[in-house]
This record gives sequence, C-alpha cells and structure tokens, in this order.
Amino acid sequence: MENRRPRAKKRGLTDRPPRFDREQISLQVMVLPAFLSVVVFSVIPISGVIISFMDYKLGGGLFNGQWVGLKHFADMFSDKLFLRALRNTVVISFLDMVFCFPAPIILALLFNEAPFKRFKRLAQTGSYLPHFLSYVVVAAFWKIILDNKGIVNNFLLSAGIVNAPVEFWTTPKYYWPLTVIVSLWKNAGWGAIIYFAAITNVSAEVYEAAIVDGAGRFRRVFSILLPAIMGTIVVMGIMRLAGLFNASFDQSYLLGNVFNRDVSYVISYYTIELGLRRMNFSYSTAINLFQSTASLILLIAANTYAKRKSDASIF
Amino acid sequence: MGKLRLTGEDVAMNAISALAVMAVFVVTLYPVWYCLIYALNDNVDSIKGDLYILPRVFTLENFKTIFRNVNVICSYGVSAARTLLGTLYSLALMMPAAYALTKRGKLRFYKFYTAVFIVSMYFSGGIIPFYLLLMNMRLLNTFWVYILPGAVGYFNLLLIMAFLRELPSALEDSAMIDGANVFQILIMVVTPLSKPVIATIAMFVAVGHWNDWFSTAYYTTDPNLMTISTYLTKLVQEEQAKASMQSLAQNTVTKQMLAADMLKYACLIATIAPIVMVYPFVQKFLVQGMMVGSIKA
Repeated sequence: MENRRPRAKKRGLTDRPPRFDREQISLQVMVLPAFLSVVVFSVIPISGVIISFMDYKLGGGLFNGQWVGLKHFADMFSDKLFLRALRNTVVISFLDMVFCFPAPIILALLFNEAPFKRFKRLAQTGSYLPHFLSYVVVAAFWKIILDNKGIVNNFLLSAGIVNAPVEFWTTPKYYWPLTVIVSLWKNAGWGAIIYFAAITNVSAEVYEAAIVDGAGRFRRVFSILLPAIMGTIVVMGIMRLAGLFNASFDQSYLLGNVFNRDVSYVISYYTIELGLRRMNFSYSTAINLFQSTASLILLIAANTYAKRKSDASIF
Repeated sequence: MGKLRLTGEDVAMNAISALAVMAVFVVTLYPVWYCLIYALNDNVDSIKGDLYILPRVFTLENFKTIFRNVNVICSYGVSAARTLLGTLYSLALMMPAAYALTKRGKLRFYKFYTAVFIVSMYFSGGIIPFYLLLMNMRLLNTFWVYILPGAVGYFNLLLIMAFLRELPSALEDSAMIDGANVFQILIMVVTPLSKPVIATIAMFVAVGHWNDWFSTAYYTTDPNLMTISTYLTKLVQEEQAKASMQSLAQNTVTKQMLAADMLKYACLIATIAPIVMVYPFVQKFLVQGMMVGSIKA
C-alpha cells in the first residue's frame, strides 16, 4: 500500500519540490477552500487578542481604543467574580478528571469481559447515544428526573429516605456532584469507544499465551489489557489535563440557575456574559487569552512529562 | 470458549460485567423513555404522576399541539435547512482537502497547511474577536452565520485522512493511467469508496448543526432564524423560572402550567427524534470510522 518513499532524509539535491503542473494546481485548489475557511474563522480572530491590551470601543477598526498595557490582566486578579469563576472551573474540571476520566476505561474493560454478545452490543450502541444529544436536551432530561416531583424524589420519598423532596437544582451544595453525574451520562459511553479500539488491537497470541499460562480473568485484565491500552490512557489524560481551565459553557448555562450561580458559573460563562451581554470586550478577551494560554502551557507541560515518563504523547 | 469449565473467577467476572452492562443500558436509555411516556400520555392524567413504564392514557395530542405551534414548525424548518446545507457545505470543503492532504509527497506547502490547521485546533482568540469578525463580515443575524464559520474542523479532517490512507492505491493508479485527473479520481473513485467515513463525518457535522443553540442565542436576534434547539432552551429556561417562582409561592400549581410542562416533553422528543431515527443506520459506520481514526490519528 505504501508506494511512496519515506520522506527523503537529506534535504538538498534529491529533495526536489514538486513542480507546478496541472496536478499540483488541482491539489492546491482542493485544499484552498478548507484552508481559507480555517484562516478566516479561526486564525484571523487570533489576532483579535490584541484588544485585550486596549480599552476597545465598538465601531471603527481594530485599533479603535486606547492602549492600556496589562491593565486588564492585573484587574483579573482583584476581580472577585473572576476568581470565583476560576475556582468553579478548576473544581468542576478536577471532579471531571477524577470521576469522568476513568469511567470510559472501566466501562470498556467491563464491556469487553461481559457475556451475552448481542445484548452487549445493543447496550454499547445505546450508551453512545447521549453523546449525540444536545446539552439542552440532556439538561432537560436531568432536570425532569431530579425534579421535586421527579422519579428520583418519588423514590426517595416512598422509600422513606427523605421527608421532603430534595431540591437538587436549587441547592448549591448538590451542583458539583450533579455535574459529574450529568457528564458521566452524556460522555462515558462514547468516551469508551477509543478504548474499545485499543483493546481490539491487543494481539490474540499474547492473550492466548496468558490463558495457557493459567492467568485468570482478573489477571488478564490487569496484566494484559490495561498495559495494552496504557498509551491511549496517557494521551487521553494529557488532553483532559489541558482542559483544566475549560469547563463547559453549555453545562454552566443550562444546569446553572439563580440559586446555584455562585458555584455553577465558570470562566467561559463569565467571559460570554461580560463580553456579549455587557459589551465589556477588552476585559472579556483578556480573560479568554489568559485561559487559552494557561491551557496551552498545561498541554505542553503534560505532554513533555508524559513523553519523558512513557513513550506516549500527542505530538 | 463458553463450553469450557468456568472457574469461580470466571463466574464472578461474568456476573460483574453483565450487571454493569445491564446498568449502563437502563441508565442511558431510561431518561429518554421516561420523557417519551409522558409525551405520549394524556396531560390531564399525567398530573397524577407515577408514570414509569408505559403511558396510562395514550394520546398523540401533545405532538399535535406542538406541531400546530407556528414557532415550533418554523424553527424546525430552520434547523433542518441549516443541518442539510451546513453538512453538505462542510463535506464539500473537507473531502477534497483531506484527499489532497493525503498526497503528502506531492502537495506543495503541506507543512504550512498542517501547521495552520494545528494552530487552529489548539489556540483560539476567544469569543469576542470571533464575534467582532462575524460583525465585520456582516454575518450576524443572517442564516449564513450557521453555515460558514464552523465548516472545517481539523479533527474531522484527520479522521477522513486516516480513512483515505487505508484505501488501496491500485484503483487510483489505474484511473490515473486511464487519463483521469485528480478531480475525477476524487469524485468517481475515492468518494464512492469512502461511504463509511462520509457517513461518520456527516453524522458528526449534522448533529453539531442540529444541536447548536449557541449561535442562534448569541449571533442572531431575528425570530425567523430561531432553531429548534434554541427554542427548546428558551422553553426549558422559562419553565425553570416559573418553577422556581412556583416553589417560592408554596407549590401552587395550575393546570395550565402543567399542560405547558407536558408540551415540553413532546418538544424534547421531537427535538431528538431525527437524531434517534438516523442513529441506528449510521452507528455501524460511526464505530468503524472512529476505530480507524483513533488508531491512526
């Protein structure tokens, strides 16, 4: 299948650039629309971060406003609302990392061991479904289920565990655990797919050799499957860690309400609220820039660390 | 295998994993089912509550009511239009690009293109510069704000590329010898062979369009551009506002409020119906596409 040569090691005379013949032009024409789309809608906006060093005013060009240097960045750390958003973001992402990151791994290993092939496949297919549902729908489902008159409260009441319905959505202390539950429901099934792929790649020979050597079921899971998917786990872990400052806006907006706002609003919520509702463009962009820079640093750090400790990395 | 002696360990493992599978099945699908039975139950009867397994008084009245609502029909139409157009546009951009990018040795500026795509994946200017761009391009409050901005995603591009690399090159070569140019090869040879990955990406993109409520809420104000997800968001948020006022006002519940509540169930089901109906047909490709992609990418 591989009929092109591996990339020439030496640059120089042997590495002639492809000519601009008709084929080359055709190939360029194929890439350009997609490339331009990305340049216009993703790369050009990056230059917009300069407004975080200004007091930008609407109207006129990009440079419409006074340069204020790092003022907005300094403001951030005395802004109680921002600090709280930062805390909420980190807590929610951290909980996500502790509970929602291992879940797909456990799920994949359990599904792999389970009997009843057909039913298993059905359940597996079903478990991917929530990934394709809008967060709006997911939030609505869980609001209904955990409503005062919802099924969970009915159960708790009739089992005599509580005397009055639990106000899940309006009690701040329940909010963080609830984000974990909703994220698990939405993402765990689909998240497992990548581990299924990794498990499928485990060579049957190794597996059979282990059986012959008398390794039991648990032993096989921990000594063969788990090490085999470790590379995937590390890569996913890196991505997850890099997302420490990115808690979902959808979640915050759709599960949050006036009662739990103090614990539910995250950085993305705060920047959108500041920027698009209160038109505080520069400050909002400054927070975003801080967030994406911090994420990038985390990503690179995690990646470097993983590269040193094991071979797995994402770049 | 199953006929072999089962050790105690095997039995334990089977039991644990089978239970887990059962639990996953019930937990993932029950919320959907729960809404469905409420949506299909007569809403005066639903006030009594205690509906868990099947509707007690079956009716399609709730669905008839929501589809008599002009707002619902209109937003359903906008969602359908944007999903269809958006997906086509997105595929039309990504398929050729992915194909050309697999010609690593031939394509000039390959590294430059890849670098730009990678940057776009890991770094963004944030919401405000993006919003200002949309404003300057006069895209705000137009239908095109749904279609143009998110058309190309590098992740999707990588999935397509991973799939295309696996295709046997013999067919392409013979077409080339027959004098076909790269466009003809892409359309007549590569595309028909790429149905699984096209189905996968189409599903991802289409679902993204159908589910997006954010662009409508923040980039448009024209009621004619309302999409079904956003309409549902409004419905749910209003519901909640009412509910919290209600709980403040000592649980006084009017019949009207509850009727509106039941409509919410029907609206929810109507929103997810297209996805749930397409899903069984695409899921096989999805898994295939993701497997190839996740191993290669």
